[in-house]
Amino acid sequence: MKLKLCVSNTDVLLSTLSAIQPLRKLCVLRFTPVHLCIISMALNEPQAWCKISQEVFPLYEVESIRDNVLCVETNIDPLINALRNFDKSNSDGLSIRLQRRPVANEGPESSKKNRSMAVLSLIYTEHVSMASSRSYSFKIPVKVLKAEIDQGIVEPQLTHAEVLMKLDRDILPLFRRIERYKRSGYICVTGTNRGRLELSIEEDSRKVQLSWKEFLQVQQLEGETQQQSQFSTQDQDMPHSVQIKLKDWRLGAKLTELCYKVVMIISENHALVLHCILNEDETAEVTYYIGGKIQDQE
Amino acid sequence: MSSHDLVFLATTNALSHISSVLGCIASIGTTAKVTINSHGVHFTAYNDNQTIRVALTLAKSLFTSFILNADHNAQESNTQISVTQDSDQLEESEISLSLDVQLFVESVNIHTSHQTTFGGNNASTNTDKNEIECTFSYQGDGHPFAVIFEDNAILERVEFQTYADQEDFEERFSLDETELVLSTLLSGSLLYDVMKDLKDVNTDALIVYVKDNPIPSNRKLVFISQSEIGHSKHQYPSQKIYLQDLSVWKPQKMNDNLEFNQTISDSLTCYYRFETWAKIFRSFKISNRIKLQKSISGLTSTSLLVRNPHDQSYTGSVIDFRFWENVNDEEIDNLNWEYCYNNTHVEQLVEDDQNIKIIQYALSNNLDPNQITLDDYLKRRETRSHARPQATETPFIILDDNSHKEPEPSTTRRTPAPSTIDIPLFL
Repeated sequence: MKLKLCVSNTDVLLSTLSAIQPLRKLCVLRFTPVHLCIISMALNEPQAWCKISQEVFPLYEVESIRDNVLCVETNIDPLINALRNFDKSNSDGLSIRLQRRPVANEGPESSKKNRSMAVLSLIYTEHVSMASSRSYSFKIPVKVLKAEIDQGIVEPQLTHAEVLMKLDRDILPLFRRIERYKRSGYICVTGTNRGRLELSIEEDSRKVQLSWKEFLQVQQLEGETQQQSQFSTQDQDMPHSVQIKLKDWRLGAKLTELCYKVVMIISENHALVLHCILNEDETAEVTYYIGGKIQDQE
Repeated sequence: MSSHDLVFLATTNALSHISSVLGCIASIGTTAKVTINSHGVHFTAYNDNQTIRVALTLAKSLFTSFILNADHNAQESNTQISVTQDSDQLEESEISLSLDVQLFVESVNIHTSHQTTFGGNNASTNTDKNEIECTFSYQGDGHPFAVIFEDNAILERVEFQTYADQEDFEERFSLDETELVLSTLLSGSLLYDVMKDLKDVNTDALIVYVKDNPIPSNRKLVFISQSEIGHSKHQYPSQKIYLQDLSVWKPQKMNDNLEFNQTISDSLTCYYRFETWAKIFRSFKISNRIKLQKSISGLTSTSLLVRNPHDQSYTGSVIDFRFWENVNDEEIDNLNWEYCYNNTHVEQLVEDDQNIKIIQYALSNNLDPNQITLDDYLKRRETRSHARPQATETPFIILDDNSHKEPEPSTTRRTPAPSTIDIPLFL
């Protein structure tokens, strides 16, 4: 088991991590030969799946007996702090390594328990002057996940998707406009297969409907269009809605603000997915899954 | 929805103005009664225990279109009269409804500024393009009150649940113009400054002292603060630009009736708990002029004229706060009004001018740099306790300051001295 990374520019890593930081602190970092996946998930809560291409790292070496996949669980807060500190320094390289956790008094019973415990060690050297330099080392405790646990962590699959919509940064005023409605727990997102987008919030004594006047670019879903054409004209604009928690929406809206390109996927009554490309060279992406409110069965 | 079904339909571009004046309503009450007639849209709200009433009128001229089919409910159909064409006929017709004004303000309060700050491509056309047009529509009893905000990109439709008419306390707050004892016209921002200072010195009770004079510059309007730390006097400037008008009346018993005669020889004092003013004075800041009136019964009205800075042709919206003078019923009632005139105790407070430091109030552009404001005064007291600022000639605002009697003026806040009437103001 071996992990050796080098980072010179933290932009991609930091923006990805800080995008998902509000969701939760404990994340899974899965190093595969091509990607670093950062996974933030919990049962019945929104999930974020981030993929950072190994191209981002000047040095990227992962070795393990499991097809060179290495999976650890950690609190991302100290990781973010360490990256920010490195950013502020005038150092030009940060090396990240996985090391065994140093145990002060290793007893026979603790050694077994600690086998999965390790540290992610981040080291960089700052040049103070021509002659002298200062080294910094951060040790972030991680838990190495066993193969069977790692294999249990799978990206959610949508059983159906009705609307795939491309959002660019022009849409942000719409998302900002709805920010002033904070009283309701839920927001309903409706998209039509021709590209209309509408957000609505219903409160006890107020109903709000916000819609984007232009048609957004949509990707036609083949299966869907064929099904529809059986009983209606293809021109008909069918609305598809999903109701999600307002606080989950807000995180999604914030994510959209950070990203370069976003595709919104509506799985009717089931989920809202935001697939975000973080930067122009498309080396990082975040997929944010928000489960829909369970509809009352009538 | 055709305009046929509508009772009311009006459109405006003055969203920021509406949002700022409506904010003044929402600071007082949660539910507002909305009355719409040929003059415009009126909002009325009360605070929880009905001691303050606020009324706001959005004049018809604020709207680019204004259609009121007030007869719709009664006549059901075809007499669709547009007020714009035939205002005489509809002079008396009006509709009313109640809605949650907090929610209403929340919706109307759209911050458009940051819409133009992002993205490079709309930098050139962000002036007209992002102007939001706002439309009010109402279909009558039992229907929601709908507001539509529309700009080039976003269509926002908000529906507010309407309630049956709330209890009306209007009668209690009706000001009898024939029984006025005080009427004065003040500058909004200057009165705001005075109120803010009164709040900063933790005023509990506020005494308003007025005395008319044939020479306008000798008129007197003094706000006297009573608080834990003593009294302070804030003299409102008598120059015409600040104090545009001042009239004091004094009633006289004539048989069974009271006759009100304007007086220049009698001073009038009004007594308020400051918490009432504290609730409303923030609104003074946005107003251009304030008319302060009080009737013999103690009912006080501050009428704020708020112009729309983006539309000079608009005459302005009027916000009217009404509340009561706070006097014990045993001390004074309608028949015992003598108490308000030439009150010797208050006269003493006002006249006792010896050894008084002067703090100036003026609009910032009229401020004499050699004179000191309350801020300067307080700062100087803190930093250089021994070098006291020079008293100046023009009496604008007067703070009681007897600290020179102290052997060593202290730099720290002190507990009040044993209770005499004129407790020096330690800050």
